[in-house]
Amino acid sequence: MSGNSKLSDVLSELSKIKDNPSILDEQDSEMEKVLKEVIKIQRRHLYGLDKTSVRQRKDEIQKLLIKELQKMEY
Amino acid sequence: MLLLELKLRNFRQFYSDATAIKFSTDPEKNITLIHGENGVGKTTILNAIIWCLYNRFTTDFELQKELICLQHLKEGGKSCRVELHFKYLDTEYLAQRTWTNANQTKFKLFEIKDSNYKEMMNSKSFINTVLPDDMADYFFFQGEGISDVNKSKSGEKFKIAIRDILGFSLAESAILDLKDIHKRWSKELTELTNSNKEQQKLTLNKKEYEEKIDNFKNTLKRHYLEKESVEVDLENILDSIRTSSNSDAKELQSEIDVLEKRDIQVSNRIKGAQLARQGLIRSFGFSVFGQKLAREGLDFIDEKSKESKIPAPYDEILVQRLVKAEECICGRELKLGTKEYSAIIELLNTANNNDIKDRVNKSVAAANSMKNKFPDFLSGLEKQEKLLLEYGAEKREIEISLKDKVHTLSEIDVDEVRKLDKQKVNCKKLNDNVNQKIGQIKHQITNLERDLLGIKTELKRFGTQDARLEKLTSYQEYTNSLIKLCHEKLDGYEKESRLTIASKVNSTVEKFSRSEFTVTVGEDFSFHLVRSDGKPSAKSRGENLLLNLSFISALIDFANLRKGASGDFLVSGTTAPFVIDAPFGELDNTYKKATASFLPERSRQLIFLLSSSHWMGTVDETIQDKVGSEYLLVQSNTTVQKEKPEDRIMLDGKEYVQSLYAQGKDATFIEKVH
Repeated sequence: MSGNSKLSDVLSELSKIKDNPSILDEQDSEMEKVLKEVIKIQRRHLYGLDKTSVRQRKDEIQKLLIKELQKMEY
Repeated sequence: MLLLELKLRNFRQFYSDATAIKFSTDPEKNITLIHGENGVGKTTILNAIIWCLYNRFTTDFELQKELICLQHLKEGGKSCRVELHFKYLDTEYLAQRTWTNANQTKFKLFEIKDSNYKEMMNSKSFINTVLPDDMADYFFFQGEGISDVNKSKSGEKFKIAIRDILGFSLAESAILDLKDIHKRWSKELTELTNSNKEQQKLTLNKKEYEEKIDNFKNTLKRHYLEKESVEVDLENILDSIRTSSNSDAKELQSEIDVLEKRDIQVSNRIKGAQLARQGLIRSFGFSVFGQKLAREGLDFIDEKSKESKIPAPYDEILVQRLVKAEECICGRELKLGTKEYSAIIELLNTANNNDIKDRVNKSVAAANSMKNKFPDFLSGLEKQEKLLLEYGAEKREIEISLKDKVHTLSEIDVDEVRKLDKQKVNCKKLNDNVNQKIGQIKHQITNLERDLLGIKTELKRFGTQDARLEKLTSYQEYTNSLIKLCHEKLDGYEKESRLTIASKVNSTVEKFSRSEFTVTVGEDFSFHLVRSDGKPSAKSRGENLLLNLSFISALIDFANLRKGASGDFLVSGTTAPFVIDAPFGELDNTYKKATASFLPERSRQLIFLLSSSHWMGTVDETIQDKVGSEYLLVQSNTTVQKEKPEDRIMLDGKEYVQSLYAQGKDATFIEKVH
């Protein structure tokens, strides 16, 4: 494949993303769902307006992981 | 991020409280032009933005502690301030940094919702997410001072900053947190494993103890068998004596048998009396100590009953009825808040109720029982003591008689009897010996069994620890999988982003560069020019600037492209401004035109800080349709003009003077062109 056709492939993919950015979102596995929950916690603690601490953030993530694992046990 | 407005309040040469620049936010006319000749304040504007957001300046910005406008200082001013109003993901924010002449800086960041300003707590980390500090120099770009974006930062820092722009920050922070949580569990696991070693040791001990007990029990069995055999032998010997032809021996043995039988009976009676005495002490011994207490307790209850104090002479139900009826027995009104009402309510604290009655009855019963049991206990104890004395005397008498009879038997001078007696003595010795061994082994078994019970109790505790150990291991595995997944996703996105950015830069280079080369983007986002034969190509300063501007604009374009993504893994893409001070300084007319052409296309918001030499001609023609907002920096001087230039400029069909003389103040003013 030549450099130019590779480039045009990429540009065509980019234009698809531009028209429909949600194609960047993929179907999630159970683990991906948990990962997104972890990111949500990160966002709330890092960019939220409430006063918080690193420890509180980590504790909340730890609780989430334990909860998810318990769900798996049952 | 879209810049909305910049307010400079007595910052450096910008005088007065109301010096503001409103940036164009129109996507079609996305360029804001700020004209100014050298030394008037273009670089100050760029630095005002960087300082406001990151509390630092570009390296060539001199006298960084002298921020207050000199004119303002002359008039007694003591502080200056920069305010940057911006929009990020549909929300508006105001960043505000103040400087005082005591060399102090204060930063505040407000979220603006429905005209309300709410101060944000995590202001620094938030700003770093909007536009990371390490990338700020590329978005707030000094064209004259820069020739190679790659060289201005170390590779790793540059890569991290780009990853932040690409929205990796939350996922990367998540990885760090997950690693820390993994560490927490590791710590607990190590502690448990250490105690698991203790568990292994205890299990080994338990096994050893159980084996020892088994061995002792086997030995005990052997001794019992031995004892049985000795006892049979003894019985046979005694039978031989009982049936001996010697009548004295026969009679003596018969008497010994009777005495031994009596000895056993008396011994049993002694044991019985001892047990009875122990039982009495166990059951009623407390009455010795409770005697005084019971007597005093009963006297107290009796006395208080006579005074009608225990139980109380009034009942809880009666008091509650009076309160409900709001009338006392005496006829007085009981209204809430009155003295009478409070007095009646106070009675509830001591009023008689079922609980109190029950407690008094139980106390009286317990005290009476204690009082009655004491004499029974004393008489019972005396009786057992008397019996023990009696049995003891009888046993001593039997033992003396037995000794005497056994001795007499041993003195009979008949061969057969002497032989049998000798065998009997030996047999008894053997029996005593076996009994002693049995006693010792039983004692050892008791001790070992007690220790074994302790070990078993300890081991029970580890039973729950085993379950925790298993859980912690699964927690760790799960966290590792999450970290791995997060890395994989980020690596995938990063690879995809590198490819995209490279293709964008290449499309610019291909279109505008005179030379035939392509751009490669390395793993650390470093980019290089490569000739068609695959060898690296040297770059001119102009090509370098073109390449750098192309790279940053590609990055800005890519971040803008991703702004519609959900943001549940990567931070959503953002519109980033591109503020460039003297962008065209090192470019010839062809490259100027090329840059002026692709930059507005790639950027959502473009702010040019230009002197007339950069502006006039090619650039003006190329971008004039894209200019949404335009300002002119005018320098006011108190000095007279003499030979100094007025720096006239034609903007939007109108001529402006950029340098004014013999004015009231030394400062720069911002004039809106359109």
